[in-house]
Amino acid sequence: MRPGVELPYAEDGELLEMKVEEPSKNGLKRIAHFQPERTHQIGYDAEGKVTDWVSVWAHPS
Amino acid sequence: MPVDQPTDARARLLSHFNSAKGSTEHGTKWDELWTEGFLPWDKGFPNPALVDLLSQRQDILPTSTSPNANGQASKKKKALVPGCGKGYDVLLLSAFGYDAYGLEISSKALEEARKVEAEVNGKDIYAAREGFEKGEVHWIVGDFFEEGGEGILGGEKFDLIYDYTVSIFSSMCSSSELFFMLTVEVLMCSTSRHETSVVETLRRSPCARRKSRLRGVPNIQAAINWRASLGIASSSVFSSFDETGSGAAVC
Repeated sequence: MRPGVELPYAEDGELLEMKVEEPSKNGLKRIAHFQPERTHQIGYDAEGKVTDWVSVWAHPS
Repeated sequence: MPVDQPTDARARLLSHFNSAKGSTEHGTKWDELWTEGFLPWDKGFPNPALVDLLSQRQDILPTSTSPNANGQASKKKKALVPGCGKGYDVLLLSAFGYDAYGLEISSKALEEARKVEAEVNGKDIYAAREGFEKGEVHWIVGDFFEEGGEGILGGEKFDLIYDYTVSIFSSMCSSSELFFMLTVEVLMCSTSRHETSVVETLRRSPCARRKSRLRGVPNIQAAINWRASLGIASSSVFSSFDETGSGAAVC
């Protein structure tokens, strides 16, 4: 993440990824991102497929 | 597996919160629901995804250590669950050795959490897991997003913060995951006193990636300002949400 840094957005609200600076050294970093095997029932769609995501963020050690 | 029928409950929640402005009014609205007992989000048990993460992925989490044979005392990590409700996830975290803190804007919710704790804490899924000493359980009434909220948490620093985001808010005033991640980021950045803070998760979050949404978040600057004075060392966050936003619902 980039705490304190304003991210550049286009008029349509899309983030201008090319113009985004390098992540802050102090910022949280996503160290895992995956769909869990199980979750609360609300996290499944009508076909029983998991729709939830798990993210784990940590400060770089 | 039967699928929850979210439509009616979700519509009712949306209309319940529709007129509320700001966190104080939202707090009142939550209290009303707890008093009434309309709790469609309450499933009666911790999130299975959190159970699995804690049991299987200790490699990526800050974990408590047990007392060892050399007589070294245990080192407990601290975990925070903002918006803990009845606190099932709080009790679960304590079973995995964390000193666990449940934060709730509704004091009525915490009355219920204390009942649950008295009834089931330390038993079954809430018993200390192998290799862990059961952690303490604390309940705190307060608003995670309130200005001056450092008093609420008493300057506590946390090693792990858990959030299971309910996306009902994305269609209200803001994206709750935006709120949450922003708050956590600033909470953890003790030296930061920046004017603006935006988190990277927004990129793929449909409601948050519209800048108008950012402008519409009422407490964002307040959250940044006071949280900038708080530091949380070596923390991790576990956040579970529907990244596409498409299937997100609260109940």
